[in-house]
Amino acid sequence: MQHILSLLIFFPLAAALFILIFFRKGKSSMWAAFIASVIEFIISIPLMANFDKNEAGMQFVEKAWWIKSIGVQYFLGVDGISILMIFLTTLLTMIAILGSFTYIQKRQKEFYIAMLVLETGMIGTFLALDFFLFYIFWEAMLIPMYLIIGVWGGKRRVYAAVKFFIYTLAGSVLMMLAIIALYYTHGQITGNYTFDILKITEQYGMYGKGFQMIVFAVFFLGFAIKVPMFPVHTWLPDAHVEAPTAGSVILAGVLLKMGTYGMLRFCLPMTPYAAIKLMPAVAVLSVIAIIYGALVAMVQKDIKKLVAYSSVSHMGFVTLGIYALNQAGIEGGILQMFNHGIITGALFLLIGLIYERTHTREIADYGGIAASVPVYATIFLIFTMASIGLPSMGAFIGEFLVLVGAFAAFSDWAILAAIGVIFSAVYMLWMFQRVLYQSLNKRWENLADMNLREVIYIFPLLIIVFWVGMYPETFQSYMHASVAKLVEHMNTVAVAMQ
Amino acid sequence: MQNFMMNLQSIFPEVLMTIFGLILVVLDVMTKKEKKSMVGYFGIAFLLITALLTNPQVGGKYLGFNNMLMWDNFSYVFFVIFALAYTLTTLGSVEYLKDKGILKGEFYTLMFFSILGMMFMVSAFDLTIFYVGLETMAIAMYILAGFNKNEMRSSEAGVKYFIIGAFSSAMLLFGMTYVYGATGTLNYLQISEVLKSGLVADNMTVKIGLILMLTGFAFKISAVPFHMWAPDVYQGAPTPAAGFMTVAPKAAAFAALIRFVYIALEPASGLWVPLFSILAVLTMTYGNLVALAQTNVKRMLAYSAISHAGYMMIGLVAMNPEGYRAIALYSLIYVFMNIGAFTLLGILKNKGMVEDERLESFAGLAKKNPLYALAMLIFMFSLAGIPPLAGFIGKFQIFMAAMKADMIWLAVIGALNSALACYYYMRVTIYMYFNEPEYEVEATVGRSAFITSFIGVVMVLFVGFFPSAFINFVRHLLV
Repeated sequence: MQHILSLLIFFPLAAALFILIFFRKGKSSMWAAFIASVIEFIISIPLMANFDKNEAGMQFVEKAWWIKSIGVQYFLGVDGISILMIFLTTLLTMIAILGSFTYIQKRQKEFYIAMLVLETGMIGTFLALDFFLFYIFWEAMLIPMYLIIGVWGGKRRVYAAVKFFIYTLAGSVLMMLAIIALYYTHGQITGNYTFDILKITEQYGMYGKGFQMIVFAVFFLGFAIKVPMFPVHTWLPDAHVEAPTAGSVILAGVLLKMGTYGMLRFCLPMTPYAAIKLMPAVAVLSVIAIIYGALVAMVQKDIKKLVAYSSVSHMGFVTLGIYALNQAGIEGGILQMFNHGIITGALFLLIGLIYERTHTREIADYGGIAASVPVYATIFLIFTMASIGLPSMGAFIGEFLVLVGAFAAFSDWAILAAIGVIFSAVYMLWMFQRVLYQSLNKRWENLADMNLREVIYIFPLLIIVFWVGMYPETFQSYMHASVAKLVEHMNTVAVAMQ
Repeated sequence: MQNFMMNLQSIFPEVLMTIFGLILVVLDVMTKKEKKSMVGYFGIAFLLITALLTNPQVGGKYLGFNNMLMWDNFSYVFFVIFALAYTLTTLGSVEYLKDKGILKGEFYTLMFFSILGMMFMVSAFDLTIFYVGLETMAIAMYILAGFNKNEMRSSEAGVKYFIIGAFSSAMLLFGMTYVYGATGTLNYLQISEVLKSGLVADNMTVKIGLILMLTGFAFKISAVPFHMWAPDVYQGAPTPAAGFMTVAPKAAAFAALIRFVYIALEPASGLWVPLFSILAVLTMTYGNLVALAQTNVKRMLAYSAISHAGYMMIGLVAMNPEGYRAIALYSLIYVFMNIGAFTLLGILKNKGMVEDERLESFAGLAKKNPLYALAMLIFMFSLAGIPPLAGFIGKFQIFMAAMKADMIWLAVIGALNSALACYYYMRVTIYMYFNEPEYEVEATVGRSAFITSFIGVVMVLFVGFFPSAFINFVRHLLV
């Protein structure tokens, strides 16, 4: 158990290297990658099981010098905020790989290597507790994702890949400077020059107001691009639409969460003054994202694009909850991150598998296919409902908690956000109706229903959606202690400010 | 007697290099025509011996000949950089030179003697010594640029480099005379004392002299707007020579400049820091913007070399030891990634034409030659400064130095520039990975090119994952 986090990070990378060197054929490397991702998922289970839910701080900590001369450590740890993200990453990667078996036809070996390298980057980002290490993982992730979109994507893949890359990079280079500024400021205050995130966070009280504002703004911009928040969301529809199914699943399921995770880990605790001051502004941006995302989703002609814009809307709920800065809001936000990963991941998988059969994503090309693919229609309906936030399913709990939290913090905006829920019903149901109901388009009379493999990879997601909806405590119990600590931290600062 | 020992120790590396260089000339005469690469390999061995024998250890300082020549850790680290550049260029150029029919011993002896010149430049504590070193290096470089005399481009590069080089050297020399006229000395330490004493603080002569000198330096490090020779020269020169020229002479010019401004001009920092800050911004931005528009990869790399000089200048104006240590580290890393990229570029063949550097010729290479494409991808992303590759470590150190000096605006411009630069490096990967091959291009990776690019890739990855070794190598540097 001592090095389980390192194992989690480096196992996929080792597997990728193994495949690179020892496998020649696409088919065998596909299976090898799948087995590796299953093992990776299995490794994450004892992590979940042995996680002490009453401990608010970091657990399974690993610490060693990396670049001693400038105070960089190899420092890993997991707490209530990141543990669900780890679970989500290992689960979705496994499912995305299984979901690509027939979708990816060219250069299979390279694809699965890229997926595994990507997994290393994602897990590393969630576990790193040293700024330098965090930044390395955060950026390193871009290269495999760039290749996944660019090589295996749709028609405008090159444009989408480059846009994705440049957008994210532009946000994060400034973040690098903010990190260096924190390093020197912290060093000057304490005499200890380190990139240790926890130590730098501890000294939050010593950072001047102006400095906090600037650091917050820079970090926020970097993370907001990743989330993505209005108005820096424009890379997302392109990237989502052009990416292959597995790419979209990982992008929506995990990569977007890194933005909100970063806000929880850095923006709030490290620069609490700025976070409290700017909380209303962020709430406004979140509500704009909720409403705007929903409205734009409504008029989309492409199913994948519709789901992409719905992500903008749903992630707006997450940021709204986080910046409510109370227990319900933040817990709702984290839960919603998890839910969105599961539900949107499933939707992209479902869209991907029908696309494999029909080679179109235009809503207008479909119609009435429920008649020829009943199993598919049922599962699609469940996830549509889940996305809307129907009670008994995951998203309902998340959105409800977010709204409870938001109402306590800024009631006016919470009301507007609630309207967004209605919009989501409009665009999802309307899309569902146009694709699966209405009169059957003759082209799709002999459409094949889901096969066993496809049912297998959707099934775990189905269970989790209901599990979260029926008994969210299983998942929420992980975060109680850590979120309580964060909220208390924010409250102390808020009281001190008055 | 002690004085004599000190003098000897300060000049020992250069003496050793001269002897080895002369042996190399003799060896060149003795080897058969088709085996000329042996000369290069001997050069590598000589450099290795010199490097092993002359390590001054941490804190060792040998200042000889009336404070004119210094052999210390700083000189040594830069010597290692030159030696590595020579080694990689030599290993990677064999096939290229054979193909072009210019496999001659002079190629190696010229590079070898240029390193001797560079060593004098870096070790100089006196403007005369510096100038002699500079010319030794520069003359070797002019010949190298025009080494492929069968090709118009190469000859043009040689002549252009020579004219502009002579012009900038003259400017430097002219500035030196002014400085000498005002301060009465050419020694760095004494210039610093005179400037500090305030006797000539407002002296127009000194100012003109310094500005002329700094302009001369700006030519040598290809800072915008004194860069116009660089793209043509780098593009026209034989590819391996271009790889060497973007790395070693630039590192030498930077090292000499560091010595000069940090020691001699330290009291006059009010004059040169703003000047070089502006030049740094111009160099980065202009280099990147123009590189964006290139369709020829070699020319693109030439402009990228200009923008990299801009990043290094940030370390220069930071005015702290972290700054020049970052420059040393950056140069060291730059050796691996840039020579690696140039080596790969040199072996790209298109239906009989020996080299083809157009972007289109990279199309679909990932399919035809996955290893070549992967290596190129790693070099490109390393040049762009994407972690976890070595280029990022270099940039990070530069930005740390700037932030420490409170030059936040400069760091911001640098960081935004590195995001901008990413696009043109990515374009190469776009063609390699995302596009279908347009016409027949081959990348025959011969043994020597393979070894060089392999070393490059391994080092780029190694420095990215374990930067400690390299950072420790430069962290005790003091001018």
